[in-house]
Amino acid sequence: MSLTLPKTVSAPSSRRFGWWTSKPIVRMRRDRATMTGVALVLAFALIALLAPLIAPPQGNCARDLGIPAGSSIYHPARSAFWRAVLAAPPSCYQITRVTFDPVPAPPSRTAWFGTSQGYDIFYGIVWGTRTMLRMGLIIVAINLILGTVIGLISGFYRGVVDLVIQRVIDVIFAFPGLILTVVLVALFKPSTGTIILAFVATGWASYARILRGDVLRVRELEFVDAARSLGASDLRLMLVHIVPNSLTSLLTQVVLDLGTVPLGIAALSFLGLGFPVGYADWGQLLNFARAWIQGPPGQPLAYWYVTLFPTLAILCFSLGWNLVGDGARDAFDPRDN
Amino acid sequence: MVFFLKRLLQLPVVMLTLTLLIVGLLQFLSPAERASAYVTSDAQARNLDLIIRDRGLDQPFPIQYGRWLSAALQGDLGFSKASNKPVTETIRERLPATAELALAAAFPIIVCGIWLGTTAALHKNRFLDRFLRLMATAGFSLPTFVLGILLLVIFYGALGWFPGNGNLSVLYQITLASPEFHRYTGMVTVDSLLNGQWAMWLDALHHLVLPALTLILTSSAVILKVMRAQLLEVLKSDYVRTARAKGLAERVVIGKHARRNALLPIVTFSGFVFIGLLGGVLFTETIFGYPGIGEWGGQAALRFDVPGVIGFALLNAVVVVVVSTLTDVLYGIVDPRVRFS
Amino acid sequence: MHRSLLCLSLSLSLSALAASPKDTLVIQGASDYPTLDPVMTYDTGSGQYVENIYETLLQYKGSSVRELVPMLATEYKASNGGKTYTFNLRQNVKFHSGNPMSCADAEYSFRRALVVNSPDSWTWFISESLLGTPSNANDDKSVTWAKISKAVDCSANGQLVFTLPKADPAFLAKLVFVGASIVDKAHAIKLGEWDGTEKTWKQWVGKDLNDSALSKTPSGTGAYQLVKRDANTTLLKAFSVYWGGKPALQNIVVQKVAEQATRLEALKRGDADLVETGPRSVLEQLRGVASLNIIDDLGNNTSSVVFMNEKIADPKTLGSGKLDGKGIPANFFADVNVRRAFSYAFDYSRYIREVQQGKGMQRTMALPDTFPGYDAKVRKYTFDAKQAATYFKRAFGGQVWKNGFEFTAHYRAGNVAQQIMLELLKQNVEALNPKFKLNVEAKQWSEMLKEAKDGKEAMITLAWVPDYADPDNFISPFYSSSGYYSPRLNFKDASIDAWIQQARVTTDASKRNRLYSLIGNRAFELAPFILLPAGTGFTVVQDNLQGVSKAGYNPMLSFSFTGTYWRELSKK
Repeated sequence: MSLTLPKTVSAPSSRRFGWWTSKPIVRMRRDRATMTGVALVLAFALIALLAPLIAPPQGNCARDLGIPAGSSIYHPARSAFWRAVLAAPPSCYQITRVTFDPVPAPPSRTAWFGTSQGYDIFYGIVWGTRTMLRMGLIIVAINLILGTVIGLISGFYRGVVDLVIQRVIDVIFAFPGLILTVVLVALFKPSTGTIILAFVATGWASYARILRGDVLRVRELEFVDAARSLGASDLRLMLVHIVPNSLTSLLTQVVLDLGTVPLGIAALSFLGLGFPVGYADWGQLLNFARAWIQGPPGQPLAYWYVTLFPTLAILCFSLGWNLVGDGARDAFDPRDN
Repeated sequence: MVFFLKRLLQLPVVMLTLTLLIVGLLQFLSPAERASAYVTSDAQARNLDLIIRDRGLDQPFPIQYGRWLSAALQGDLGFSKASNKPVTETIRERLPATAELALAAAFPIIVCGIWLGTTAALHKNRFLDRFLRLMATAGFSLPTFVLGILLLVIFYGALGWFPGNGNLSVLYQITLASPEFHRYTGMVTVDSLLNGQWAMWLDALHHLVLPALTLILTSSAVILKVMRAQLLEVLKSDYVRTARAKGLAERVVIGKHARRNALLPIVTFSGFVFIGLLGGVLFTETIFGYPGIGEWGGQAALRFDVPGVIGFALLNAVVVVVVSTLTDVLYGIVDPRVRFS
Repeated sequence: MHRSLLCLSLSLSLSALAASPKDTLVIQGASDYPTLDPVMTYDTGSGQYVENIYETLLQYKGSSVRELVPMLATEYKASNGGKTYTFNLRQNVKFHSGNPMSCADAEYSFRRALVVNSPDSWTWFISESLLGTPSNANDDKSVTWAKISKAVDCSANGQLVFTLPKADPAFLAKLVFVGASIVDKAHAIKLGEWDGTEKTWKQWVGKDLNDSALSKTPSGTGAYQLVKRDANTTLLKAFSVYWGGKPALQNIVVQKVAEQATRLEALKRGDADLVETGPRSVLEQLRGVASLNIIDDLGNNTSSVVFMNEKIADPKTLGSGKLDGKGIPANFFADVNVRRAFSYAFDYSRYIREVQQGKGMQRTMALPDTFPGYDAKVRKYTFDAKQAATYFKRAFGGQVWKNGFEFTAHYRAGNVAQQIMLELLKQNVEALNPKFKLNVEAKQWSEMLKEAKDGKEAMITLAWVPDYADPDNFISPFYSSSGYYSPRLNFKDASIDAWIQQARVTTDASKRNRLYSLIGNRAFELAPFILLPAGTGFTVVQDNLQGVSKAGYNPMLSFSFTGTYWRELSKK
């Protein structure tokens, strides 16, 4: 913040032409890596949407959906089908228990990816996709909005407001992030809401700081001065002229952060503060794997499925968002024009 | 100079706010919940009300905070139930080990990151670039604990190349405890040298390998990505074009002009990486039974060990402020264009 | 650069990883321990050190939990109708500090326990025997210096004399508890601990001595003395002038390694002789390792039950509060038919088969089968869906069966055994009637603590670990309407209460046993809680470790790795 480096900034790009044919998008569409990323993300979105068809509800989930025992869900005429797809009851996020035996069982007809701690890994991964996407989107969206608003206020008004906000951010940065997360989750007891709260509490600050830097830079540009001299209000100045110019750098960060949400949740599971045991969440499945990475003597890979499938899910998820994020950064880089 | 003094003067303010924040947050707990740091078993809970009264857990927030603050100003940060020792003693005992580990990991992370980042940038969008970036993504997409256990199971369990727990072998633990052994710094790799214990020094290094490797594999990716992006940016700049136009050899252009300029932001990022390491050691230390502060901080937070959490957070604040001030100084030295206002 | 790195790593790996040396015992545990001060030692984590650094007057005979033999005492006799105990102390015993042990030390140790009697410590039960109250002087004004000094005293010829206000059949068993160890009076006073006089005793009442000077620098008569306790390592060495002869193992190294996988690798590689293995399922990974010796079928002295609260104090737990299928009334479990139905609805054999990997046993009472007073002939519940349905139909005049119910049972977060057990119960109960809904949720320890005593929970599962080997230590908390668990259970039966009181003052063993049989039989009829099968214990040790066996394993000792004192161990 106190460093002054000469920086080049793009002029505001024209937004008249269609989005699909805009230069950055075309550039992204042409890049194979980016498209792989997009494909991965879309695949996860599809898995999340169709979870009830891929891993059909059983037990209490089927009961709460009103599906009679023995009948299947693959019937779009039934209301249960649409409820399962669009508004599944909480019991559906409980991973199906195949056995009470904690020793892992290899992939079989009943559990395609095997069992971990008695739970069906396949069900956990499929329904966990919903959890991960939902958590990722909610956390990042709140962070983005909070960060943008606070960053804007801080950068635009400067003075005392800025000073206070910046000191608060200093404190948050000085706080060991993981520890604050742990304190918050432990304090308000693990649940979806608390986990979101904990990640938001530590997450918005870096967005706010990035945005503030951008705002400080952009507001000095000629076109902002021009707009101001034309009598534009503060709000209008911020929304129309400053935000669109600053958001580009933020958005790539947002996409990258989306990929790391499962990691944060896994870290909480490691500490025993994640979702309730049995909730469909990849972090928890990985946490189960902790004790079973090594097999019995002579068969070190006997329990491969316990580690491999959740790891792959997290890897692909993170990879997908990363490729998209990297691609977007390159594509929106004005110097490549 | 004034700038740095100002920066360091912020520290007490940040620290004070931090302590208020933590103590304030923990006021959401009922006295019984606060007692969970003191009472770990059902049997101990039989006198819960008395424990709460005797330990003053039901006192109002200002009184509890005042009591802590007046003690803290005299250098007593309280007693940590997570380590079963006073906070200051815990930090003195555990910080050297973590510093040792973080330093051992930081250099490889920065060197590897810069080197791989350069390689990736020079092969932009070709196989090597893609491969390195894929590996980097994989590196930081794997939860540290999974990677740590994997390394442990392979290199300690199956192959036996490196030890997997603690920072010294049992034999040297006994040496360490002998009265002839002087603990100058608390870091075993340094103390063993100062005591002329070569075998012990090797043993300590040996123990550092796996935990440091875990940190290196998960953290190099950041530097790699920043380096790649910076180098690509610099390569597009005018003076690189000029240098190329002058007909300078590509090696000279990259090595002398481009890379040096791209390194600038790396200085800042190295600071971040170091700070990040102090946070990331929680998992590494837990997995490898390493006697550092990370695991203690985690336990303190889990158990509502108020003095422990505050102590850990204060330590972290000091490190963050000092390291970021240092990187700014370094930045100023490397880049003559920077002026401190 | 690559080559030099390779060379370095090679040279490093060539400095062979020495397995643990012959004269050294390496132990890896999962967690830290709070104290080394006997007066605060109430957990096995601390107890495993304290029982080897210090010694008590009496000890268990081998693996028995019923027979006691002398340790620092040489003999004892009871007189005055069980109200006076006189102990002769062992001669020529030295503390680690070099001080000789005398009656003054024993007197000081017990008085210190009675004076301090911190609310989170074990001392409440010795105070109950010697002063007639579990509270310390701050909370019970009847505790005076005169009472304390009269309760524990040295006679003119150096005998230790205990004077009890009334006979207590459990008194001797209480003396074996690790906290009742004899500390070094002169050493403690030199360190600044209580000086043993009437003048200062009030200052020490209720103090938190977890981090006392004595805890930092212990001096006991035990076979091992503390060398150092740092972040993750505790180091002890053999006491060369131990009265029982210097032990075989010269060094004990206890490392804290929180990660289970890491400990198991250390065990497999021989870097650790004993590790905290984790649940029984890990045996899958350890069976077949040639260097390891798995000792199975060890005694288990804990008792696990599922509580059914007969007076649920929290309206939130009750849902609708009515028997309309969306909740339960506060007195849901007050109907004996409901309790019996639940007791029949738990699949005991499946629990043993799947969760305890076949190594479990159904007990007849909430009392370990090794304890005196246990009656194997008392009837026990079996899984019987028909019986369960029958009782559910009878409950609340048929309302339960007709309308169904819904409530939430809680387990301590992270406790897999508790969780699985409740899920199993859920499965079996819900299968009886589609209108039965039993939700299973985790609760953090801190939250459980808060609500435990208020009786807010409808159903929780708990395990009791004994303080001392006397049946009353189990029977009272579980069955008595004034017992420790009573607020969570709200179970009251006049005849059981009367029998418990009677048993507490009956010193005749066979009469006492008869009373406990009566309690067991009556409890079967009333089904106050679901008795869970007790899993058998196991331990995994390096093959060359001698002195550990199933026959010699005593579950009452804090060192649960071998169930012995360290001095009994050696390496081949």
